[in-house]
Amino acid sequence: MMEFIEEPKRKTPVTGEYDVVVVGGGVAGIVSSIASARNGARTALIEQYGFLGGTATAGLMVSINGFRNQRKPNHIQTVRGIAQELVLRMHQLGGVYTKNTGYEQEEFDIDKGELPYSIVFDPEIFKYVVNKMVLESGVKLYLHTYALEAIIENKSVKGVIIHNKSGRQAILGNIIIDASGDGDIAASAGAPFVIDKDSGKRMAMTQMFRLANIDLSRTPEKIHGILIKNTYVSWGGSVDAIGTDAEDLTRAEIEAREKTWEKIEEIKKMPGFEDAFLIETATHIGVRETRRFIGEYMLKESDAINDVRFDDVIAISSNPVPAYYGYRYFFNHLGFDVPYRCVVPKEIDNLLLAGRNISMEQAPFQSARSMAPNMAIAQAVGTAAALCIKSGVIPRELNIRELQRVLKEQNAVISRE
Amino acid sequence: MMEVTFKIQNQYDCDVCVIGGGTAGFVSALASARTGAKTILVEKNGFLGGTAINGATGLHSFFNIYKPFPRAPKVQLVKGIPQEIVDELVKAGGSTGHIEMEEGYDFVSILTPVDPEVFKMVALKMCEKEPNLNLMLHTSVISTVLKEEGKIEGIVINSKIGLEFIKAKMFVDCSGDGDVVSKAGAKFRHIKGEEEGAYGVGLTFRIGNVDLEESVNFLRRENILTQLARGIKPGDNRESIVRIGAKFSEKFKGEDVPRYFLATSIRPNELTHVNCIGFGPLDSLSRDDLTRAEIILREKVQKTLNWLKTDIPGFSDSFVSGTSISVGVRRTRAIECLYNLSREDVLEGRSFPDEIGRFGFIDNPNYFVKDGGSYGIPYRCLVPIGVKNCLVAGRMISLDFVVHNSTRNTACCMVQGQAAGTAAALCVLENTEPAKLSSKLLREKLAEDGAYFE
Repeated sequence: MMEFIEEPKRKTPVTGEYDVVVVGGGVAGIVSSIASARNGARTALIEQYGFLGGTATAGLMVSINGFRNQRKPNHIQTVRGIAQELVLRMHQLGGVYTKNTGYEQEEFDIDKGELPYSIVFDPEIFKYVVNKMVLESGVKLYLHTYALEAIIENKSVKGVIIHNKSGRQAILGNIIIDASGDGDIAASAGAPFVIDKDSGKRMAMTQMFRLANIDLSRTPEKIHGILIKNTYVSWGGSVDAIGTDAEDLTRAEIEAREKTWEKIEEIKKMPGFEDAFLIETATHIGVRETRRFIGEYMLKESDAINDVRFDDVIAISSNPVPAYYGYRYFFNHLGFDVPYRCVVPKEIDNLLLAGRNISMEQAPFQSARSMAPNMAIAQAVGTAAALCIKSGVIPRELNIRELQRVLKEQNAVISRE
Repeated sequence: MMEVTFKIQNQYDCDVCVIGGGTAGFVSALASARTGAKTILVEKNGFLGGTAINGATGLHSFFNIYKPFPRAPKVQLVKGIPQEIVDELVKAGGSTGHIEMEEGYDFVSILTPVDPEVFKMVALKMCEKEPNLNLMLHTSVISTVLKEEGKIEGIVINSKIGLEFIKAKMFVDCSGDGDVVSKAGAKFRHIKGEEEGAYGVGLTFRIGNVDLEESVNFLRRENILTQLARGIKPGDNRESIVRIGAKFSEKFKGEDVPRYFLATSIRPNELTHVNCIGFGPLDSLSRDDLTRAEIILREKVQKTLNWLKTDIPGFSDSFVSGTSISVGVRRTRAIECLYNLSREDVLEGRSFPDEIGRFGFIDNPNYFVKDGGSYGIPYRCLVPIGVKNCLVAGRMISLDFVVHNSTRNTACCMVQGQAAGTAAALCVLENTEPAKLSSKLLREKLAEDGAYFE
């Protein structure tokens, strides 16, 4: 072991050149690529599976949380823009549910565009709608494609080496957005990051599962889980593991799968679930936390808790932070500012971060990793990338006022007033 | 073009490295490990089973196609590890076992519906029990490194760790596409597009909340029912419908009417695997073709469901409760081996002195093995020309299209997998090359392990 091997040099064909290349087709990648393309940048989106959605679909995490802080009396919806558009388009096809989301919540009128704290979606309708939204915006899709490494010159990212059934290729881009969740590309580019190797602190991985054949007339009033039509989606086996270690990930998949089946046996003892059967487990175990990169600013726990305002705010995150309070407790304020500097990694140029790899301490990360704020931040990142292309500047030199103006114009929420 | 060099950090050493955790690879890895070789199995997904649980309609044809031939005896051809998997699935409540088709049996005589989720669990458990087997999930193969022309030194793999290297004495390429063997000097044909022998891809999906009896009554009334089977589903105590085939296009017209419709049900009120949409023919090794196929077929899934809900009784409250993780690819590279079965070999039901198993199903309504019999698969069909330390198993063997219509099927892939894995391990133990391995020794070992021989 540990004998280093150098692969022989090989010619790698350049398969495409874009303004913006987004790595990872989870919610962050979907939204940032749409935002980038809509703002005029020639944009490519790279995804390892044959469908988009990442944790939302492959992870079977079928609820989007964090559209608003639920604290009464004056809470507002803190996430709109592309995230809201996605929900409304799924709603048109009958793919959105606001009851039995796994959380108690106040009702809002979706038809009027008002979203509650959490919505549940049908994962197949999600796949269908996001394909349409991404393609309508003009994004070039690379499905079944792995991103291997960043192409880097003088601390500036120039593109990504990809691998798929057509073999190995290079995709060049002026700006690369790492929305891979684990920040694989940013890490390979040499961007500095932190990763919690302390198992006590690191968030566990969970395998989601889905049951059918539930007698809804007999189920208890309060059930821990999500109902979609007459199927039940819930959290199965949880395992502590390091998401950037393949061996640990293999162990996690095996252990979690075993625990999921044990859990189902318990669930089947509940009234209404006696004849339930498993119809699917998540394609990929749900990984909550791996690398968090060190950006131009790392948002502090105290910033989030104390509602510190930032001049370069690009999104607002109002989802609870269990790490700080010890349980799911909503902030005493409407939501915290996410500054632009949190998505701009230190040391490396032409690279932006979107998704759960952005620059935050663990407490604010736990809030912003939720899909609604995650998508709000991603919209800002994709927009920022396109504006960088338009004005010919690198991300850390972008005119923030212009970014904020465009975001507001495009229905993003960046203030609580 | 850019010049790229990768730094690779870790190396793993083993006797046999199996590429791909579909049915061929999974069975192959078990066979290799049990034969005594230190084995690594590399799979890109977080579970095993490949097309068997993602893309096909469950297992079938462990037996010959005897039902249309009154004088043909019913013979179980596929035994050994594949049968052990079925036994484990039945025990775990994940299969009906082998059941006879009631209608449409001139296509498939014996069906073996499996629950894909139980399959995933059982497969992982079977691997965990093998001390010689190191399973690497979420790991894909990036490139092949040669020691010399025709000899593989190792493969570069990509996972969340980054790039690593597996060095092995023997390789078994069960990738479906021949990703490793084709880069090691093997002769192959890349079959695509409009060429003869190219296929389209499908996308199977799952429909929940279906009244199966109501839909079958309707199909029967309209005389468009093409296949039917009943069996006792796990957890149930009476027979219910496990297979439906329909020819909707004979009665209905329109863009969203599926031209063919085959579905297997292993759970109540559910069509667990629905196979009714396709796209192509295309180049399934092309990233852009695959991307396009995914987009088009995922749209077709929703449209097909809407049509079923409107026009077919039993489907009015149904919904798509899942789609396969990927489009189902049928053929890409055809690897030339020491022997390539001819159409006559298969149709005449020929036997071979070095055969490692037999099979009887041809996925083509125009062809049958003579008298409902079976044909032998020679060991030489698993030994690629031009590579010294690699065997192949699965859908990339067979050059002839009709032969491929047969050998690409899951149960046949499992037969090949057991033989290839056993052969790879024997090559290591005997310190020989696949082309020089005694087929007698291999056949004795396979017989000892319960694989079928006539």
